[in-house]
Amino acid sequence: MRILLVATLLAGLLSGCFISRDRANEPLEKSKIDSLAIGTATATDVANELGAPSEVVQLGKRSAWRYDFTTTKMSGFTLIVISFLNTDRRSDRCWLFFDESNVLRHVGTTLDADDTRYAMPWQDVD
Amino acid sequence: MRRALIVSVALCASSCVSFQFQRDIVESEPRAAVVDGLLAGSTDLEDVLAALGAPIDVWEGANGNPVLAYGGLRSREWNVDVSVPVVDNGSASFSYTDTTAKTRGTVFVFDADARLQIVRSGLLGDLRQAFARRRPASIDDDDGGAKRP
Repeated sequence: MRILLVATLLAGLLSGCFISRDRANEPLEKSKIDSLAIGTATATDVANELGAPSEVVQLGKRSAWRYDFTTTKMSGFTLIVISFLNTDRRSDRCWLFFDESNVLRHVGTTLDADDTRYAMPWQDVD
Repeated sequence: MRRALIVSVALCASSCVSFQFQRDIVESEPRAAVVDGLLAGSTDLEDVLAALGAPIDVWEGANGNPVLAYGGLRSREWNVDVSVPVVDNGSASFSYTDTTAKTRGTVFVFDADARLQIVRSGLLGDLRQAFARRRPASIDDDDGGAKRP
């Protein structure tokens, strides 16, 4: 009888738990980014290798292209009238900077999407 | 009897009042020690990208020079949602949110030769307004259909 009661209580409480994951775009491949030679690769080479960028920023006569892959993990639970939610969103990002002749001059890459965590709002997350 | 009353009130209240505690984590602020090591005048764009990786945003600064923004958000907030029936088949609702944090970060402003000129930390929204290139507003040539002579 006690086990049944505990099981019923747990089932009632856990029914308000949830986790979800959302991903935007495709993961960036570091090997493809590394294959682009600074000073010789052109915007056409970059487009052929990485596809269409998520964003193009005009910088005077120069430009910068952004590629990204974003992961969002959400977790939480509801106790009758109180809900606790945690959302963690991190991304792989790559910015490529071109000169006036559309030649690649600088590349900056951050690969943080794998660091996204499921957690409760009070848990420490880096 | 008292417990039953509490449970009943809680169940009834759940249909019109709810509370939500939410934490949002978006990317990460750059480490202060790394930012402090990037000095205007002696650092270039390549150094900043090597030290901090890809920025979360890039925009055009004065004279078309690049501005790189790094930052992240750590917010915790309580939301209270109240829903009140106003007609037979509908309800009105509102919510109150107390946001305790906003997106903070650091921007790096470069000159035409990609040398670092300015480093500023603060709210990225304010920094963007301060360092984004201002372009003249486009002229709206919609004259409402009037014919020019």
